[in-house]
Amino acid sequence: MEKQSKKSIFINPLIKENAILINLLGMCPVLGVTTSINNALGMGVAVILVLFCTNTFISLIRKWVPDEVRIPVFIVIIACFVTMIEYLMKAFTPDLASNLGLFIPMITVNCIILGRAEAFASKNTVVDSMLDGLGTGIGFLGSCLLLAFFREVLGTGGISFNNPFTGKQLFSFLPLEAIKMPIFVQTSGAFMMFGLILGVFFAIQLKIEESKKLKEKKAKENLAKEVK
Amino acid sequence: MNKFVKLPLFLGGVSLIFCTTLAIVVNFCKPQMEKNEQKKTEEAYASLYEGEINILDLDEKYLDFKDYSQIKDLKKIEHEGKNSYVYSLTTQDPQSGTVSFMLGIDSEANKVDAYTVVANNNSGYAKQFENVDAVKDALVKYGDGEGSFYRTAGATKTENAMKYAVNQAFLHYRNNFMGGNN
Amino acid sequence: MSAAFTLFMKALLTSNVVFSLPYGICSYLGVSKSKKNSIGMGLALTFVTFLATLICFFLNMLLEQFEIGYMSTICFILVIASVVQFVEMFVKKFSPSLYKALGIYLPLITTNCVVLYVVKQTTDMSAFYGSFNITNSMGLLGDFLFILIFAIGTALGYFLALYLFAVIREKMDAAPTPKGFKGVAIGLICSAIMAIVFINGFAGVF
Repeated sequence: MEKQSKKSIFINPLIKENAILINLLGMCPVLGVTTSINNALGMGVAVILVLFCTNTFISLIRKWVPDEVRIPVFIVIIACFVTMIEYLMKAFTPDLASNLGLFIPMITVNCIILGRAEAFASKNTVVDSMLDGLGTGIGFLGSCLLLAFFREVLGTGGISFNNPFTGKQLFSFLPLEAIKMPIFVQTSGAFMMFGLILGVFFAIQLKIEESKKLKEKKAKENLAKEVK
Repeated sequence: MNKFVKLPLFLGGVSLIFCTTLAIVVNFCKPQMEKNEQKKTEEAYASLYEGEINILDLDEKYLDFKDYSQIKDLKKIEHEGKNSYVYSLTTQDPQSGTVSFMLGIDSEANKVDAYTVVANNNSGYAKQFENVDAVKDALVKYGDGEGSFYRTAGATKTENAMKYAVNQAFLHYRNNFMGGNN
Repeated sequence: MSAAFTLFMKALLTSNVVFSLPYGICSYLGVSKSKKNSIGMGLALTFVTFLATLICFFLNMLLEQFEIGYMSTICFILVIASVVQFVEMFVKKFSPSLYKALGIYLPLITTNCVVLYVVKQTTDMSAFYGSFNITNSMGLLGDFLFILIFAIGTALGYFLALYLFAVIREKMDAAPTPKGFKGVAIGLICSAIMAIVFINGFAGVF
């Protein structure tokens, strides 16, 4: 197996193998949390922290874990970190924690974390796993923010941002308030928006692939002409 | 080492290490969490009325909320010579989100004289109840004269949940403070 | 017991776990590619949820006795994983054809948010009663019965949503959808319409 460069380990999960948009993993929290950019940011940061910590520790003990208890050990580690982050959030960012509600403990059963632990952290060095965790987490944060941006702008007319530690509103910019559509703040709007984003994303992907294929065909034809 | 000893030992060891760390972190967070709770209730009570307020606790018999699932707490507030009964209510509607709010009922006029939202979880609808006047305008007078009460109007899910909570407060108030059962 | 019936119908329809408080979306989108898989997954999930809630109710009481409520997430997940393992062995022994049909989906139930959501409700019964507007007059037995009914209702609600989605997706795969929208994306937009039906259509009925 080729050894990936440090840079590609970090960059890959951001766009090329984005957990949500490409691999379609770990979507449970995405629909419930993206009602506002605040919540999406909070959730994304929590996932980044959890991914970073679990990848690091699982990579540290990867040489001593017996194969049969692998999954339970991973689950225990992930659950411990998630509960730690849950209580830290409840103590220091109480408004954010109560907005996210049960979605914070749900990070434990998020396919992304177990998937990365299983596929990457248990087979690679500590530094690589750290980078992978950060990259995947930031990719997750990015796609959450994208969805939350559209949902909030269409659903409440603009963006409002609260200081997570004190709950006070930092700024609120609502240019489209007159034509807001509250359905996007609800679940059905979430489905719709997510479907539209995915659809556009896949369409762009298909276009890129098509143009790539066209280029390859042209290159082959040119090569054949030159040989003649 | 025998396989059946090694596996549980490893799992147990890892669990022990991580769970102890968890216990330390949780105990570190607990005092801050209690402070948060206290601060929230104090801020909420202070925002209800202008000027100095005096929070009085009530007799145990008034604090039996077994039949009132939405009432969380009840305190008597003395402000500027008047007495009000302040109910802490929570609507918990999974679709539109939780709204915790406080309703102050003036003990002489039997009218709602204070209203504030303590916690508003994620709901676009509940924002309309943040403004005190909006609620007063939304309260529809029911009945006339001595036994008149105010109830919330509107039919959206959040408004129904709020109406249910407000009516429970009124029911409790009527059963306990209106001079006997009506 | 009208309260029990109302709770069941609310968990099944009005507060359907997939459409109103979105949980379980991962497998909802993944499993609904074929109707047979959906039926298998739904039934297995109901069984696992029921068993897991049964065990976790008592486990939660035990944890609260020792004041270590924060261990609830960890213990619940381990319980769920063990229940899934046990169900897997059970199905393998008694019906190998069903085991082959379910394939990878049985272990997948471990990471299904629906099961964790249901068992998490045992930790905060007052919030649970508040959100469904129930008053419990039977103490511990009432707690137990209500949470079990809620578990079955929610799991069946997930099953219903999954099966409906599978049926719709079959038809959508044959329909001429715009490029890029085929598969998951158009399915999500259909789910949006289903969500509107379930949330707004059934509101106030129960």
